[in-house]
Amino acid sequence: VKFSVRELVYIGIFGALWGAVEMTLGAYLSVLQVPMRGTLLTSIGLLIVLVGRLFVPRPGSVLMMGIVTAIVKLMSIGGFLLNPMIAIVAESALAEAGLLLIGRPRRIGFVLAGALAVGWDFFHMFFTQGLLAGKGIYEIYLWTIRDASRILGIPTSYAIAGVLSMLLLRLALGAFVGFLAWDVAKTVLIRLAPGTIEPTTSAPVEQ
Amino acid sequence: MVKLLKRWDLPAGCRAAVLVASIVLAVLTSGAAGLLVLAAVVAYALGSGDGGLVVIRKWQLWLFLAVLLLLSPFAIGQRDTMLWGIPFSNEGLWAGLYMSIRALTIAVAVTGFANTISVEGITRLFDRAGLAGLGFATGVAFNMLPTLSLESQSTFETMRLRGGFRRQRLARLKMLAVIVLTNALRHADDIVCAAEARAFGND
Repeated sequence: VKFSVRELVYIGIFGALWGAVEMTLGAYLSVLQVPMRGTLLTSIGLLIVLVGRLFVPRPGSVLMMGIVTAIVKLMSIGGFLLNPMIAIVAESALAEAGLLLIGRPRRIGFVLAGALAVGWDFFHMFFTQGLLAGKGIYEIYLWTIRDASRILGIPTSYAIAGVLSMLLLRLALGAFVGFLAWDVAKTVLIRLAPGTIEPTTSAPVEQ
Repeated sequence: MVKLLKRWDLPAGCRAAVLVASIVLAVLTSGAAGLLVLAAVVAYALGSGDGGLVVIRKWQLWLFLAVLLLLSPFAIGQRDTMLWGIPFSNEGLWAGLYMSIRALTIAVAVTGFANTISVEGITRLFDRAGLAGLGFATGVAFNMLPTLSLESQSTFETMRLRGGFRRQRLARLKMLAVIVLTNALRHADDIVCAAEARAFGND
């Protein structure tokens, strides 16, 4: 897919916005050690790039915005960069896949893309730790679940159900983000439409 | 030695090739060979610049390695060895050690790459790979990043100081997103005009 100059600029802008969220809010949440901060950052980032899809309605645009964000993150100072970079690219690829499944931009496509992308957050830790340490890490996880269930006296199926509920929570949140992104995108389109009154920031104030 | 290595001004393509080679070798090797790869990656990171080994200051990495080392002897393989009355697996102990070496190698390789490559280097890398559009978009993103960060923060602060988030929080957050995105897209129009005036084309 070949993008026009305007589309490339939009891709850069939306990538920079997600990058700005990752670098400012992400750093803030990281310092405060807020739980589920990855899910929160993904949700905000997804909202931005899904709005971007309405401005660059071409296959691959969301993935490109994700790659630009990952590079912005790569250049940020400090932190262990591998995890967030993989997360950003994987989430944008999944969002892209969701949008491509539905075809032309529609609310249902945004909902599916959001659910898939935020749902990745659940698998992300297992994936990156498997990538870093190899398949042996999964044996450690299984052993931990088995032994924790035994010590706490909870059936293993309950422990697995608890873990799966975390996945469902993320899928629901992602779907909501997609739903919201459609509304935000439409509102931005209306605001930017020709003939819309520009904000009068320099207008004289009546005394 | 380190000073000599610091003079290396490798092009971005070489740095990317070293990164890929390091990750592939870390995944494919184990045992003493894995340790050799780790030593080579650490030497390269030391020689590449000051930021090459920044990851070893991160406690999260050491916590992850500690978990691998401490749990593997109990989770992997048969518990066939005793130490101070605690049974553990010899196979698991070695597996944990190899996993830690592999994780440390990949972490140092990625962070070393990230901390020693410039934005221009990455843009050039994309251009050479035939992805000039992605390079241009990345350049736009880096140029706009400070402005967009500042504007987003000041919009948020303005809304907060006016008590915007006290009621109807979701609606206000939606409004914040609309304002930030609309402002960003207005900047985009200026950049498009500037790029077109300079006859920039994705050809």
